[in-house]
Amino acid sequence: MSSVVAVAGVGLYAPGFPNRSSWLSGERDASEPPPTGELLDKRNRRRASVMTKAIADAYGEALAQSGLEAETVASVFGSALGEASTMIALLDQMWREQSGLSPMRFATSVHNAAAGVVSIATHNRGFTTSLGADHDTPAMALLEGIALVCAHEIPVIVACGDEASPEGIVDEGHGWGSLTVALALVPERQASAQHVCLSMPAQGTPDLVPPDVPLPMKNNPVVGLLDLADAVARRRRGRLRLDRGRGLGYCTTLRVRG
Amino acid sequence: MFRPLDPVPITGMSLCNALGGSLAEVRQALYDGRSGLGESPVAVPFPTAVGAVTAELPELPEALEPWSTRTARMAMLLLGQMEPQLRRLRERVRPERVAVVMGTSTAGADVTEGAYRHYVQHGDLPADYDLWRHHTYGAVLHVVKNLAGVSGPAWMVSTACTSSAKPLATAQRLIAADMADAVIVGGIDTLCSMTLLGFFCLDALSKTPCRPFGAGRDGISIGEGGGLLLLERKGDPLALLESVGESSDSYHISAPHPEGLGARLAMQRALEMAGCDAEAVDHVNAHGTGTRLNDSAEAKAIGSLLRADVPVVSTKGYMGHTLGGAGATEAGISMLALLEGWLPPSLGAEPRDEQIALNVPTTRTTGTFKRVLSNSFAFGGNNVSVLLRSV
Repeated sequence: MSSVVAVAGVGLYAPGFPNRSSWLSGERDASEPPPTGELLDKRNRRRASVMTKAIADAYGEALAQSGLEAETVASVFGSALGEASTMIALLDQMWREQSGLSPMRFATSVHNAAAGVVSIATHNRGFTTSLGADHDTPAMALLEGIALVCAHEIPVIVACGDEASPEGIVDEGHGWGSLTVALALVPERQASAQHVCLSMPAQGTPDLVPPDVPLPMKNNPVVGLLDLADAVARRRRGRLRLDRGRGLGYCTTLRVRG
Repeated sequence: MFRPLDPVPITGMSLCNALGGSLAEVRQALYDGRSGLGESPVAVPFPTAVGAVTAELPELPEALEPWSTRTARMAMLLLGQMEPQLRRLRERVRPERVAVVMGTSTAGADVTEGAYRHYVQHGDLPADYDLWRHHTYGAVLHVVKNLAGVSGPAWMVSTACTSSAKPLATAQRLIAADMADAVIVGGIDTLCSMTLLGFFCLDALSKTPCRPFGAGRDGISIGEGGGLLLLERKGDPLALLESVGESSDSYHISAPHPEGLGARLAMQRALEMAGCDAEAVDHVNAHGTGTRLNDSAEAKAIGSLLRADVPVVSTKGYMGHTLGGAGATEAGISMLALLEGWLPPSLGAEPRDEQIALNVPTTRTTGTFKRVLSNSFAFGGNNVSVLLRSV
C-alpha cells in the first residue's frame, strides 16, 4: 500500500491574504477583508463564526482547484483550539452576564462545527472528522488524511485553521493571528505531472526553510500547513517541518513529479 | 464505498464512569441493572440527574504533575486498568509504532471555565492555569503517551458525541496503511457547567434520570468518564474490530435527520465494509440518548435496516451520556456482550413508546452474540457505527 499522496488543490484564508493567489503574490490587502463563507448556505453562513467562514473559504478554494466532487469527497478538519471565540462568548454569558446560554452558540461551539456546516452546504453525506493536537495539528491532520487516502484510495480535503488567540485564556505576548489552510489530497496513482507528492509525516530533520510569514500569523498553531501549502504551490522539493519548532518535529517530504 | 480493511484484534479495554472506576465494577452494575445517575456535583440552577465519577482518581507522577487535571487523572486510572496488556505491548512493539488516538468533546473545559471566572472577577488568570497543560488536546495526549510509554503519532478527535467512536476507525486505517502496529484508542469527558447549561438551553436535558426509548423520555442525562481500548495488528484478542461505518447527515448542525438517514448510512457502511449482511447483526448498543427526536430517528434507522427482533439496548440510563467518552464506553460494553453472552436491561425504556418499533429489552437478556453494532451520533450530523465481532 502506497503511503504517498498527491496534492490536487490548495486554498487559504488569512487576514490580508484572502486566497492562495494573494498569498503567493505577497501583496497583502491592508483592508483585511473578512472571510466570506461563500461556500456555506445562507442560514448557516449567518450563524457561522469567523473561523468557520475562514475554513469554508479555504476548503472551497482547494475543492475548486482540485475539481473533486463536493458531494462525496472526504474531509479532515484540524484545529488546536477549535471554536475558541464561541467558547469565550459562552463563558462570558456564564460568568460576566450571568445569563442563560445562547442555544445557537452552544450548538456551534463544538470542534466539528465547521465540518458540520460544510457537509450541509455541499450535500456531502460522506466521511468527515475533526481533530486537534496543539502545534502538531497540521502534521496529525495530514496523517489522518493520508491514512484515509492510502487505506481506502479516496480523495480527501485536509483543512486546518485556528482563529486569533482568544483574549483571556492566552497570556499576553503569546498570542497569534488567524489562519486557515486547506489541501486536496488524491491517491498517488491519480497524480499528474503537475502535482506535488507528499510522504507520510514522520519525525526527522528538515532541509527546507519555511517562508517568511508575518507576525502574528507566524505564531498560529497551524502555520505548518501554510508552510506546506506555500512549498506545494511553489513546487519545492525536500523535507519540510510542519510545526515551526513548537511541536514534536514531524516533517513531510515533497516530491515533484516529472 | 470505502475499501474493506482487515479486522483488527482488540486486546485490552478499560472503563470508568458513574458505575465505577474499574471494568469489574462497571460490569457488575450493568449486570445488576443498577443506574449510577444521581445528583449533580456541579451547581446548576435547575434539577437534573448526572452520572458523576465517584471513584478515587490517582495522582499523576511528579514529572507529570503540571498536567494534572480531572481528565488526565481519569486517563491514568484507565491506563492503570490496562497495564498488563500495555506491558506485553511494550515488550513486543517499538514505542514509536504505537499511536494514541483519543476523543473528547469537552477537553479541559472544566478547568478553563473556572480560570475564566477568575479572569472575569480579578482581571487575570489564576497563577497556576496553563492553557497548553490544562485545556488543549495535547495535554491529555502528553500524559497518556508518557504513562503508557509510547511515542507514536497522537491526536484527539473532537466530533462531539462521536469523538471516541471515530478513533476506532482511525486505528484500523493506521494499521492497514502500516503507519502503526498498535493504537491506544478511547476518550474521556468530564462534567462541567457549560455542558449542563448548554444542553439545558437547548431544552434537551431531562430533569430525571434519562429514559432512552421510553414513552416518557424527555431528554438526556449528562455523564462523565470514558474508556480505552488497545488495538493491535497481532495479539490475543478479546474481540475483533470488523469495520466502522461513518457518515454525515448533511441536514442540521444540532438535530438529527428525522428519518435517521445518516444513522442508517453509517450502519450500512459498517456492514458493507465487513462484507456482512444485516441479518448477521445480533445486537445493537444504541446511541439512545433519551431525547424524543434522537431516539425516534435512530429507531427508524435501525428498524429500516436490521431484523425486527434484534435486541437494541441503550446504556445511557446507567452512566448518562458521557459525550466525548460515549463511543469508547459503549464499544467496551458491546464487547462484554460478545465475551459473556448477556445484555443489560435498557434502563428507562418502560413504559414503552409504541412509536419505537424495536425490540428494546427491559430485563437482562442472555444469548450468543457474534456481531454487535455500537452506534454514536453527534452534533454536526456526524454518525459512526462500530461493528465488533466475537473471536
